[in-house]
Amino acid sequence: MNDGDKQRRLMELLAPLHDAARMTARRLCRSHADGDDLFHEAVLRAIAHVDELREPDKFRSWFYAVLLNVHRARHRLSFWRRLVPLEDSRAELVVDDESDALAGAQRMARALATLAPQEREAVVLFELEGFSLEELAALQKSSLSAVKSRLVRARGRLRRHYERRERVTRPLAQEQS
Amino acid sequence: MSNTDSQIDRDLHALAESSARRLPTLEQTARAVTDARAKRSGGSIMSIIRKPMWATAAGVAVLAAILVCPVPYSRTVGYELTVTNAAGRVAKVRVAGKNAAFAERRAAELRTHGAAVVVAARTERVWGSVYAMAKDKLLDVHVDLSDGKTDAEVADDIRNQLAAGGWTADDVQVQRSADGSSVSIVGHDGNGRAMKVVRQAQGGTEKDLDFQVGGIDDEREPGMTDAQLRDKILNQLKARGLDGDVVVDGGRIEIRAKRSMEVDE
Repeated sequence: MNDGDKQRRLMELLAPLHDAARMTARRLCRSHADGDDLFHEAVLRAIAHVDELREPDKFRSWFYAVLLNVHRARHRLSFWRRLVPLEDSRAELVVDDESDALAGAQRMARALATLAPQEREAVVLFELEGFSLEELAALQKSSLSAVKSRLVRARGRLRRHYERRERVTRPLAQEQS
Repeated sequence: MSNTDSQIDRDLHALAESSARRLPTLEQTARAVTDARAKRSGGSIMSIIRKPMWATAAGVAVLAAILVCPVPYSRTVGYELTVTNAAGRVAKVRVAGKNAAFAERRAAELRTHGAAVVVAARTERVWGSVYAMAKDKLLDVHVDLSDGKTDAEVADDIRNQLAAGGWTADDVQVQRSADGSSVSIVGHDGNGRAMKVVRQAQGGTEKDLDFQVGGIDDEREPGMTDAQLRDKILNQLKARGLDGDVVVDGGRIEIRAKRSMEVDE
């Protein structure tokens, strides 16, 4: 199979999954721009290996596994850790009626960025994408109990992040008012 | 459920909603992937850093200048003259075109007839690219980093140069360390137009900081399709040595332009 054929095959398989997978990539990153880069990188890697996919009906879990591998590989590269995230210009120049929702989304993106990659994946896939614990365990190559612990730990860290943030921002808000 | 948990759930929901905004289509993904594969044969920033020989090379910096858009901005579409005659009657006259001097000449003519005339610009709010809003303003920013400037002084230098070119810098962040540097600039011009530049460097020490703002024509010529307009923009980016990722979807134009280079220390 040549490169053109591989890309065509991948795109056919990806079609029903495209929007959901791209949204997952965005949710795993601190900005849409970074998420889109992650998604493109995963698609490129999937194209390179699509001829190794023996069971097309398992494409969804196969592609998500690629996406998560790329996500973790990027995190391991010190280069990416050093870079500041690419913020979205549209998020900064937001119209008023959307500002609350976007502020919430940005708050959560920042909070998720404080988690370890596997914890972030667990929260995004379980809480937002509707993956079952069993599916998550298979994707993360972990036991069911490890995934459950990861989710509990991640939720605890998110809670502490929010509580710390509240302690810092509340006095400032009171001063301003 | 505690207040914190409720807030987390609300924010998770907001993140889910937000990630669905302006989602590129499968076709756009296919195009971006095709472009990326073509570029990789020439070596993109991603492929460079993936190679261990580059990751461990000493004395080499990888720099990237990135512009992200679209941004909403106001543009002048014409002028309105409010004319008040000696009897106090008020009339409004619309002058087409973006030439302020022409509107002023019309106002001066009316004033010779004894009328009081106020000239005001008529604006409309549109979405466009940073390049579109600044296509008549190609601004070169250059900062010499070899003379021991602090980060704050570099930021001031950038602000001053942008100001000289008619731009107001709303936020300039400069951070340099032995590991690399990052510069982020958000600004606007006198007509409420906005721009954003992000520059990141890894490894090594930069001796100069230079980048350009604007100078790309993304006007759609009559009969031009999205694909043709995209090619027109890509060609201009290429001519300036920028790796471009351009999405044109009707009235929406999104340009992300990168320049990556290796600089010997």
